[in-house]
Formats: sequence, C-alpha cells, structure tokens
Amino acid sequence: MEAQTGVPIFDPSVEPDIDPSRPAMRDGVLAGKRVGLLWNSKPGGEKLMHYVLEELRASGLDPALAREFKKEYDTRPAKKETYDAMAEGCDLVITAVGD
Amino acid sequence: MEPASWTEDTHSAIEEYHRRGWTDGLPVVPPTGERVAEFLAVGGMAEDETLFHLAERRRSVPAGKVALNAVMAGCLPGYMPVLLAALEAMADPDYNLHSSAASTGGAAPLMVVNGPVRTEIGLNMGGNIFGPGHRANAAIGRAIRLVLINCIGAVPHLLDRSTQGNPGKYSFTFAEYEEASPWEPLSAEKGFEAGRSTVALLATEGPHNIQNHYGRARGILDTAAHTMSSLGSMSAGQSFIVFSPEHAALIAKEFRDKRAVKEYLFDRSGVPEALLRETGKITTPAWGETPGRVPHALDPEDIWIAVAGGEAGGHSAWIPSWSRRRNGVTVMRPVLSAGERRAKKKE
Repeated sequence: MEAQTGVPIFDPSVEPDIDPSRPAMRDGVLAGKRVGLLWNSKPGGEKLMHYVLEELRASGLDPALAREFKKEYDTRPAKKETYDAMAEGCDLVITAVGD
Repeated sequence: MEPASWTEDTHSAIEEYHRRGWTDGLPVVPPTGERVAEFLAVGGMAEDETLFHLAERRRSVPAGKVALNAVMAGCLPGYMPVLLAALEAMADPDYNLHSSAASTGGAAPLMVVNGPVRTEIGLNMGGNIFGPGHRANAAIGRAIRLVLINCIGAVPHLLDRSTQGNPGKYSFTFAEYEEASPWEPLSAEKGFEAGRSTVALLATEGPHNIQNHYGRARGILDTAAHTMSSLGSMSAGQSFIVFSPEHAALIAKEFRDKRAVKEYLFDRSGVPEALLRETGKITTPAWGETPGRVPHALDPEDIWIAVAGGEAGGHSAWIPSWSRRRNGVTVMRPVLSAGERRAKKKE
C-alpha cells in the first residue's frame, strides 16, 4: 500500500458522550398531568414559565396541578433534592436556559 | 494517532482547519504525530489518558487532544506542564468552566503564573503583559481557548453565547513579576512551597485601567477603589488587581502587606444600593454589611493581588470575575513536571 503523502489533518475535537436512550414517551394527553416548572433563577424566567403554563392550559393542562421549582444558582445544576422531587412528583417538567 | 484526512500542502492544511471550524479565527499550526508525541512526553501523559471530565458537557478530554490543540496554538513542548495545570484548574467545579464558557457574560480565562517556570519558558511578566509579543503568553492562552472550542464545544453562537465577549478570550496569560514585587508572590500567599511553580485561573472580564501617574499610596489605592466601583461590573465576586511595579513600590511604602491593601480597597469600594436598584441592576436584596454601600467583593480575600507590568508607568489593572456571588472563583494548581505527573498517577 502506497504511503500517504502531503500534510495530515488531525481532529482536535472531542465529541460528547451522549446517552442514546430516547426521550420520555409523549402520549399526547395533557389533561390530568402533573407539571413541574423549573425556573433557572434568572430574572424573568418565572414569567416565561407561567406564560408557557397558560399557553398549555388551552391544550388541556390543569395549572392547579403545577408545581414550581427553582435553582439556587443560575449557573449551577439544581440540587439533587430538586431533581428527585420533580422525578417523584411530576409527569412532565418545563424549564428553560439563557438570560 | 491517525489523521482524519490529508491535504496537499501546509496552506491547504491551514485552510482545512478553518473549514472544519477548529480554529479561533486565526490560522493554526498543522500538527504532526511526532510533534504531538513530543508534547505528551514533556507533559508526562499518554495520548488516551484523560486529563479532565466535564460532566455538564458529557466530555472526557484526553491528553492527546490537549496536545493537538497546543501544537495548533503555536506552543512549544515546554509549555505543556503549564497548560495541563491550567486545564486541571479550570475543570475544578469551583472554577465553573461549563457556565463561564457558555454565559452571555463573555468570560475569558485569566491565568497568572508563578515560580521558576516563568523564566524557564519565557513567560512575559514585564511591559505589555496584556498585549502581544511573547510566544509563551500568547500561545498558552490560545491553547486554552482552542481546547475550549474543540474539546468542550465552546463554539461561538452555539455553546458560547457571549453577547460581546472580551479580547482576553484569544489569550489572557501572564506571569507575576515576583522580583519587582514588594510583597510575597501569589503562590506563597496561597500556601504553595517556595520554588513551586503554580497557575491561578479565574473567569473574568477584560482589564480596567487604574491610571495614576502622580499620586502616592492612598491616592493610587483610592483610584483603584473607584475603579472597583464600576457600576457596569457590579456583580459580587472575586477580582484580580494587577499592580504595576511602580504602583506597588509606592503603595508598599505605607501598606506593608497585601492584607492591608485588600482591607483598604474593600472598605472604600462599592456603589450605593439605591443606584443599583434605580438602574435595574438588582431586583433581589443587595449584599454587603455596610448599609447603603454595596461592595464588589464579598470579603477582602475576594481581592487577589499580583504585581506585573513594565517598570515605568502609572498603570495598573482591575480584572473582575465574570460570575455573580462567587459562582466562579480563582483556582490554583501546581505545575507538575513529567516525572511528578507520572509519579502522582501511580499513587
């Protein structure tokens, strides 16, 4: 086999180790679902969550079943207890990133 | 290490790295397998040995990729121990690499180097420390940026959402001018043994000039305190003050140690809480213990002091952290030789 000539190109990048598991099932029915709202603690974030909640009301979501959660710091993951509470007490969670 | 592809010549290779988005916008040095091996040998790591893992990005960064980016940045093999220490410091959760690299705040990794390695590899500590002209300063800082882009995905407009960023994102590395400092060097102040080279990393804004050509100790420090009271930079957290040798010598005539300087600055810097509220800077309770005055630092020890710059000129710099309320703090690490790193791995 002939030796390759020229200038080699090496890939300096690292790909993320992404879990191939699929997203949670969507059954298309929002009525009766317990929704969690995770506010990242950035100003205005809670308003966005409430706006989304109201928009989903028209699709059958009951805002009375909503629970609100908040990260302690916007730049850090939420506490484990917060994730545990959402996993136990919610059927779906809405969050957002950014300023 | 196998190439991903081949090109005809050096110019084509440089264009290929651009085309694939693997640069910081400037041309890179096309690496070779032999060159990468040299870097790894001086660093004391194997190609597939993980240097750090960033859980939020789901990425484990091997030493081989760090070496590739270091060659691309224009580093010399002797820079690898400093670069490896820098990345280890940045991977410490206290530094907050994921958020600082993604934030609209546009943080740059500021690095201060202490100890014998400064002169061993030609790091600039004198005039023009924040400017061009010295390979070690330029290339090591650049290598950090290339690792962030290529290895943790901090690509502008994607996972780097800086609104404007700052020029330090190209490279923001300098050495402390220990020989011109009237105080103990940063490494000694923070408890490292004499003769140990260290790196200190903090995610920061760009430098704010502290200009005072005619004042004496208190005049210079009052100028610094006023600079630290910048409304635009008022987010509680750590900061660096880099005093020029001239300023440091004048200050030291009255302030014998860094602690005295820090306390003076802490007591005299800050903005009125009312101003923070009127301008919409804060909507939550202000921090600080002095009623009505909100300091930048949460504690005098949030103010880190180093001495560097040309021996003439009344210019120092205040460099505030990116973070709010210490969500990213300064992290220091020792610079390990290849032998020390291999020995540590065996432990």
